[in-house]
Amino acid sequence: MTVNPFTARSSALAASVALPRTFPIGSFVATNPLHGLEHRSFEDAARILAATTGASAYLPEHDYERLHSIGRITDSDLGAARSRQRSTPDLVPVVRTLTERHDDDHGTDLADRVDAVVAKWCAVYLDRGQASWDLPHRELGLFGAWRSLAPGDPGLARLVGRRARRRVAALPTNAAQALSDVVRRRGIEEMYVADYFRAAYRRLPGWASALARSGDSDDLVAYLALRLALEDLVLDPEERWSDTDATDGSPGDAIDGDVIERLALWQEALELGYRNQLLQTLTSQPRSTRPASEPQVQAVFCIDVRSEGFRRHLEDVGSYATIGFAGFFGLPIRVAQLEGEPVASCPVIVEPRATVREVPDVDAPSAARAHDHHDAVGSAWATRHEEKSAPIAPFAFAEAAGWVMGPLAALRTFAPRAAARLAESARRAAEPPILTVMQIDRPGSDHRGDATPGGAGGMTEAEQVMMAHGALVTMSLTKEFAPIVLLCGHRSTTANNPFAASLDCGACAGKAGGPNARVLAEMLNRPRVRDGLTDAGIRIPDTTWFVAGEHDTTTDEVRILDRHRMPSTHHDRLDRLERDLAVAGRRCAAERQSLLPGVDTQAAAEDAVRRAGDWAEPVAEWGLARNAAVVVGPRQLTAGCDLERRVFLHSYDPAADPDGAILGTILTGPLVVGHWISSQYYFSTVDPQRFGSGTKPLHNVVGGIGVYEGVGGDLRMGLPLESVAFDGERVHEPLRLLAVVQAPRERLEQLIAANSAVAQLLRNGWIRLVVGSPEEGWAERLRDGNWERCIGGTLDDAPLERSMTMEER
Amino acid sequence: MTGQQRLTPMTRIDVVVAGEDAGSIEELFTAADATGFTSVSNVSGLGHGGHHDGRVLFNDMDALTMLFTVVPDHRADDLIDALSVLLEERPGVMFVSQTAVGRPGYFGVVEE
Repeated sequence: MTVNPFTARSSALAASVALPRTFPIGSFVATNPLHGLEHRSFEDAARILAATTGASAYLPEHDYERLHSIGRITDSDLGAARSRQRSTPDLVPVVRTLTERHDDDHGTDLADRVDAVVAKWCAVYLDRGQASWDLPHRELGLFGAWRSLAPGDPGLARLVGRRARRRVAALPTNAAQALSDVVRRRGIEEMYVADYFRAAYRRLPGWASALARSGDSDDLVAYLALRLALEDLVLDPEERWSDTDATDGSPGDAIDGDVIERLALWQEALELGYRNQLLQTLTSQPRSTRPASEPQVQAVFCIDVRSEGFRRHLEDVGSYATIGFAGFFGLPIRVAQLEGEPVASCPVIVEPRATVREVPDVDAPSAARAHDHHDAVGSAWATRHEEKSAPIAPFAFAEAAGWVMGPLAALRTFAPRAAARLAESARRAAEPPILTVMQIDRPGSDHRGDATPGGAGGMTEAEQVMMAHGALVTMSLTKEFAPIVLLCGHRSTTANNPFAASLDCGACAGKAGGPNARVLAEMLNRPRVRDGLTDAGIRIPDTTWFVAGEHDTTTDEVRILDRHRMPSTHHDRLDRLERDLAVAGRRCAAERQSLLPGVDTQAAAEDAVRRAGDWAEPVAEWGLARNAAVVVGPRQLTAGCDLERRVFLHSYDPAADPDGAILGTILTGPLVVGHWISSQYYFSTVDPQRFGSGTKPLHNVVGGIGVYEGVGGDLRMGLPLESVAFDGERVHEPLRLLAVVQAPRERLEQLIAANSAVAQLLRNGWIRLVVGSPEEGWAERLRDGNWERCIGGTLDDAPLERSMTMEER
Repeated sequence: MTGQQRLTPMTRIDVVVAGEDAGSIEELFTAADATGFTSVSNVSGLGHGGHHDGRVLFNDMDALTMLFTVVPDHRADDLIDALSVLLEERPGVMFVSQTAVGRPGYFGVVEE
């Protein structure tokens, strides 16, 4: 195989699989930054990481020693961890780029200077409307636009020297051709081409990831062509790459291999300590078999760790049965909010199959009038924002509106709580609530069409029945329906926070979960959908009404949605529910606020409102910080346990799932999403410089897609420092996700054997799995597939028979 | 001329990868000037990494996808090389076989 434009493209694609998967900041989605290494063991990934970037997959060793000194890591946990140690490094070649080699030999900074030029052009190319002027020649792609405009860039002359213009003009217009030309001219051996490209991505992983996001290899090829062309231009023509620039991938000077083994041991012990603590809590909690009376309301919340606290307090307030389910409510949909564009509102691992639109409810009184008014208010607000980014208009705007905007800015600065209340009152006065409905039917359909997956429109009746059935079955709610079933999504409210989406619902791709709750409620209240469900074995009583809600995780307030569509027969119950939700919210806020910095503990609920509206507040809420585990089982397993808002809770009735189909859905869907969230917090904590986005006060939003820390350089990835730590104190405890499942071990074995993706995560130590019940005890599935008895119960120690994988055979 | 003799020899390339990599495969097919391809998502089977269950309700990324294309023999080598590079990095398998088609024009061969 010789390197040509086509094979250069395939190498560009192959090398990109190790890039962190990132998303535009406006729809921040938590992912595992090392997703591309999940086919290797966690320890091998740590070694590769250290060798290629110098980054660490573990906390600094002195931090573990401190945790040991305060008893968080015990000698017993260390002993147990030591018995599990394994070390069979499987390394990959690591190469130096041409400019890195030159810098090493001559003490120069050519690689950094090339980085600066490439980063600048990536920023202008990927800009999505933040800049007032669009990039000329964008249609030519990154390389083509650069090639056309670079001769006018003074930075190029500074980097390349005289004759820069002529040499750039002589480059091929085709990026893949330019790339393969440099590869051949500089002697990069065929077997190292993908490794070289990987090293080139590693120089600016944030920008490279953003380019990879498009899914179009043209952008990746253009990045590499630009980078290698610049290297080619700045280096002496005689400098050629050689295989001495490739190493065997041992951690070398960056981090000693023995250190990684010790760190792995500490981390294992830290996680075993939490595992034992959680299982002790679940096992020692007195269990009530059923509520004293039938619940008046069943309330379904997202599995998000923040729901755990709210559910616990709501159950304390009254006769409520709560359920945990993925916050997209099982709906693979795009949602177009009123007059907005459709955006995916489901986990990023799920492909949306239908589009739902929010439209004015024509059956509601005065809907049209309210809608017109909304247009005027919305236009005025949009004008204000547009004025801020225009070159001249802000001066005129300040003249005209400064008398009111100035005092408002002062109020937001010195009295943010009052400002937030005032803004809310003004908004309500100027903009009466619009009564809308989610349009779920496919336009033009008689609602009885085939269940063909639809992309552009809504859903046929058959699709609605299918999705409603899937949701109810997966959340284990198929009988004994209460008069009201609350479907509660969640959102956050923060001001001046580019990372606001990181606090919204991860299961809804970083969006608010209310729209999904509205869609499912709308479906489940339809008589024809209920008929279809009855045919499928789920009978919903006529007296049951599904109502949507939205939990604001910053203030712990719950808003009921689509109240106007509820029959009057249920209004009294709903009024009582709203009162109890408010009580539970205040209690939850008080409990939660105690962990926030600078909190007014005497008025926790008020302080939460202040944080939501304060544009100078760096920590409006802690989001999913401290997340540690997912528990899959009936609510009786966790009811009454204070799990400290650290646990994702997914309801599951093992008795209703004899063939394991429901559990299989949970393991391959919500568990994977939980693992990504857990990993994002993990890596943003252990190496915030490499995997986090830096500190908020230094952030500058660039291109509307991400942030710089400062004024240039790489596009930062991961969570801001203020999501995992504050004032030098770490708040998030980095633990790989622990899954605790109440189900028969045989069922788990069958599911793991049938799902290689889950098996890979377990085999390679990216997540850990504990199975059992309080009565029978718990067992952890080790990486080699054997089971180890954990704390509690009387579980038989004998290892379970398991099927070998093809690899083991 | 028998039925078989009326057909034009071609190369068929089948690839089975995780759903998240299907886009890259499609792109390589297209970049190799393949005039078409077929993609089947949520396929089940047994392979090097164990069983793969096609019934994955809430995860299109890990569900396996099978893609296949047919290209003239002279275009196959570059495509096979390119796919091999990608499959060195990602889980998946490739099968290459000889096939024959009745309408070569549909597959990028100019009929005389």
